Amino acid sequence: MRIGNADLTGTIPPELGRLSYLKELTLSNNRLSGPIPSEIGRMKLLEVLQLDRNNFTGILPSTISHCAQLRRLDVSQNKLSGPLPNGIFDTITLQEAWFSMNALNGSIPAFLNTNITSRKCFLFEN
Amino acid sequence: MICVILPLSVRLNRNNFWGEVPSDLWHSRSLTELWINNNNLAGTFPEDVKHLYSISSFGISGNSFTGTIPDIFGNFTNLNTIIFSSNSFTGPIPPSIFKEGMSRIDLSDNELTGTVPPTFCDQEGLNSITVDDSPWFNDKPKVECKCCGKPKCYISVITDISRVCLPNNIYTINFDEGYTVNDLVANRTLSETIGENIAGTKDICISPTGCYSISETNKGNTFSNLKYSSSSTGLTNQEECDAVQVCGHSIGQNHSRRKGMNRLTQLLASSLDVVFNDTQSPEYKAMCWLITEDDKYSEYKVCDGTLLQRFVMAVFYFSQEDTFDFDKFSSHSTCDWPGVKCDELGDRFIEGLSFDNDTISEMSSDETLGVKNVTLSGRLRANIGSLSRLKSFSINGNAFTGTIDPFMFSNVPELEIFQANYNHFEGDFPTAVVYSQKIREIDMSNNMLQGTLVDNALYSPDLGKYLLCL
Repeated sequence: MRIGNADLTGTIPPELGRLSYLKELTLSNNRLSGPIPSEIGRMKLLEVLQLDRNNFTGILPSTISHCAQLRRLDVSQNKLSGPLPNGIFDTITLQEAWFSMNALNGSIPAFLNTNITSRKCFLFEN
Repeated sequence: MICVILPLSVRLNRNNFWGEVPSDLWHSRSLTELWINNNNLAGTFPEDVKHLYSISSFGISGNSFTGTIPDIFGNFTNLNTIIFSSNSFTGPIPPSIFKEGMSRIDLSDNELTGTVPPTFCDQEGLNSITVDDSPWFNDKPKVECKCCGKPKCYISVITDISRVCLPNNIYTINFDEGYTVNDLVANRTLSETIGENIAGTKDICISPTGCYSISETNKGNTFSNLKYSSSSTGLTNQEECDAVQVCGHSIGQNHSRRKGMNRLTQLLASSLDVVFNDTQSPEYKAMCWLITEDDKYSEYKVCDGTLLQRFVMAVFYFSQEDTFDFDKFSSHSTCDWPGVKCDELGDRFIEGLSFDNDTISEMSSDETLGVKNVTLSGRLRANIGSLSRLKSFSINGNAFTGTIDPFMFSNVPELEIFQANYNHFEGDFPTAVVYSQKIREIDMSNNMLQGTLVDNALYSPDLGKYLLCL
């Protein structure tokens, strides 16, 4: 689902989390506000989550790390605050993790899964 | 089982993260981009950083990192961008930073020492290098930048002198043996030829407020304290290097801002009379402010072009005094001035100017911004085209008049978007806008332009796919 640059206002309804087969959610460059609902973590097949350039506030829900297929996570240019959840960089498929230009604080979480031995491995069966 | 290294780009820039960077981050062999600039991070920069095998773009500016920078960059085959400015690094610049393939290096506003090797400055693809090169605050420069004066170090991809030097300021030396031309203000060699019985000509870019010496190497003659006279088109003697009067202040040869001033007159000031004598001109006001008042002057460099940016924008705001109350925001960084958008990683180079009527209206609702009117008018000043890193320029819905200098944007190779609809521009279409190979949108609809469009072959191949509104 892509609704970018559309002058959308309001908040993301938590019910959106029921779209459990969604692979992409792009709401970039609108005027959306309120928190990013933790129900996003129910979208287990989500590969692309782009919420950049809006007015989202609050903390980034730790449930995002349940999206085990996530490749691209862009929440830059919002008004998010608080620390980043631990384990945010542990999704082994992650290729872009962009949190620029918010008011996030705390320390940078660990990068346990990002060295060469634990990145994505494929098992080929004959 | 096959394991794949998926590249990982992490951008945490412009937040309030604090503390030390977790040590396992320095072992992330998949990291291709690490942008942690503009936070409150601290600590030293460990030898372990050498494990970031895949890194290409590395931005940590605007934090409080301390200690020395280890000499570990030789292993980073993909590395092209290093932005380490505005930290508290000490000690020597590690020589391995100056490696092949680098496009951008910013080490400024640290306590580093060293020399930028001159051969490095000539390499293909180098786009900018920013170091603390000001020799005037110490006995000698903290970092000697031998790139300074080479066009590609402050203006991307341009190597042709005629495009970065006003025609009046190009001085052609005819020589029949070895000679050296020194800039006595910047304290560096401008041009040099070695040997006997050689002959040729060489174009050099002279500042009309500069002061030079020429040595004939083999004969041992030196002519000192020369200044350029456009009337006699040559270098003429003066008793000593003249002081220049800038709005009542005498700026002598050793004044800390003389070098910057000379650079600006060299590149921009088509008429010295306008800059130094016409008290009503925006150029006069901008030069006066920059040389005698600007508290942030030392943060901007001659060599990387950021001083030039500051001057050009000051001229722009002074030319729109009905709209902008420059005093209200002049003490801020150039990148925080109204309508200005700088590069996200380094926060140094202007990439976007947005002076749409809507944008200005929005800015004017915040009194602290110093925007008091909503419509820009008058002529569009050609020196905006000196902002050579511009990607987008929009001035929709204003009341600009007159013609647009057709070559205004001929030195802006990254320009993607040019929007000037709903103004009162007249005359021919500004052909040089389309010289940018990246242009994808030109909107000059609802003006009073006329004439024919230039040959299609001049247009960027991408333009047709996007938008051309006339």
